[in-house]
Amino acid sequence: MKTLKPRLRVLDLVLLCLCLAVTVFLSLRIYSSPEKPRFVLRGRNGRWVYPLDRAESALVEVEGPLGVTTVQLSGGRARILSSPCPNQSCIAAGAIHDSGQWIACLPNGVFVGVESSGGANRDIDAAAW
Amino acid sequence: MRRPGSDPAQSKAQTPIVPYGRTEDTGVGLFGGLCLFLSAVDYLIPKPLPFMRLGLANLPLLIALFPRSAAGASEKPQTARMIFSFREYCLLLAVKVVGQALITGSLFSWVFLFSLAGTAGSAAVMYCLGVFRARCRVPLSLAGAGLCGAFISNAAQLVLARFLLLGESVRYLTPPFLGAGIVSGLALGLFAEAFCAQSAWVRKKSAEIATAERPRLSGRPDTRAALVFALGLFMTAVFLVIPSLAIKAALLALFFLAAIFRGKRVRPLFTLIVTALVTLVNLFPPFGKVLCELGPFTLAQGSLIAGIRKAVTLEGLFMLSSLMITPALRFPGAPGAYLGESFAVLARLNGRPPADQRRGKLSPLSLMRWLDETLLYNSKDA
Repeated sequence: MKTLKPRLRVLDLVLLCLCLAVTVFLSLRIYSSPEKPRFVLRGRNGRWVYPLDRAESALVEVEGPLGVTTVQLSGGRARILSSPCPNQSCIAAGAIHDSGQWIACLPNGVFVGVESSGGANRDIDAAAW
Repeated sequence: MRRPGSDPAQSKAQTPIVPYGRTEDTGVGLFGGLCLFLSAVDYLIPKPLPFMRLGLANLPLLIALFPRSAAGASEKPQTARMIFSFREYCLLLAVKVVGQALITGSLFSWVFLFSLAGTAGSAAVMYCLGVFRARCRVPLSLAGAGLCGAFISNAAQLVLARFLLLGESVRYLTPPFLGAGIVSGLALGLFAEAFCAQSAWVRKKSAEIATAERPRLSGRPDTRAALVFALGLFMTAVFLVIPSLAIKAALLALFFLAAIFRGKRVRPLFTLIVTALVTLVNLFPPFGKVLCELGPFTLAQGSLIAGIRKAVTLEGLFMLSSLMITPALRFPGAPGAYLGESFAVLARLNGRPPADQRRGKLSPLSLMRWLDETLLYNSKDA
């Protein structure tokens, strides 16, 4: 056998360009997409994180000075199901699902918020005029 | 696997039973044996990550798609065929996937599913491109078929990894894996085209007038193989449904010890590396109770346990499979006969590896020469 002389034909080059284009497109989509927001829960016994778009539901029991606050995470929404606080306003606050939203049980020291994975929430809290 | 030909006693001990009294190799058996041999060669080539493959075992699949030259002026383009017919090609795929699973002992593990998905996807694309080239006489070579085959193979395995093993974070691995597939597929396809252009065996085969398909082989039913296969499937199902991670980990340790006791080849370092990598990839995105934070990286309990569970399941299935499966496992019917024939070819090839490989200097040109000589030597028409 003789020395190798690789040679690409026209359609080989077309297929190569196609595959490269798909790879580059996916690279741009994947590596430049913004970080997805996530739920962050804080209490006396620790901190929890859950991606907002996580398919599996979760029930998290967060301890505080008054007892256990139960938080439900399901379908991209978070709500406080039960809490030992006297006025239960954290339960009445309903569900959160957007970046920047939060609910808290202040008597029990429990915080549930939606933040971007970069950390600090940069949205304006409120505006008044 | 030891280097082929480096230990004659080992090679002799591994020689499988010649199936059913057949002494001649069909094209499927010959190419199947080549697939298995090249898979072992691929494994021996040093790579940055232990589970990466160059895809050398796909070389026979590419050569099988080389178009037959027209047998005289009367052959019409639309009847132009490739070296392998569709049936032979499908049998070759089955031999490659199942044969590799039998040799590595991964028949009941996720590794088999990945191999099946990758091979099926790439073979379908390569076959379509081969038919397109043979019938339409377009400017397309095996380089294009190889590159598309590798691309689709890696894409199929990434999709499977997303749902079985690595979760959402597999998307970050997608571009480099697809890029690696383009490079390796293109290189393999160029090699295959250059080989087919110069090969005496291919020249002889492609000039043959397409005849009726080769006689079908028949195999004896093997009750013991069926029982072993059924038991393996049952134990695999049981292992999969066990919810407790502690029990799964204990079973994995048990399978590991059993493998050592039975004299199976175990690779603890490889197992640890794979376990660590699978766990690491599953840490993103993090979920569950935060254990610690290191700059932008969060280590969470839920994702850590999920990663360990998947890694233990992967390794446990692999260990179980290697305990239950041996290359001597015989499947009934024609597929079993072709598999046995391929193992017989593999045993002969192990005794006659490329000369340059023994000297540690395997080059593309020397591999081409060895391949052509091997095909001519082992062809039943030689």
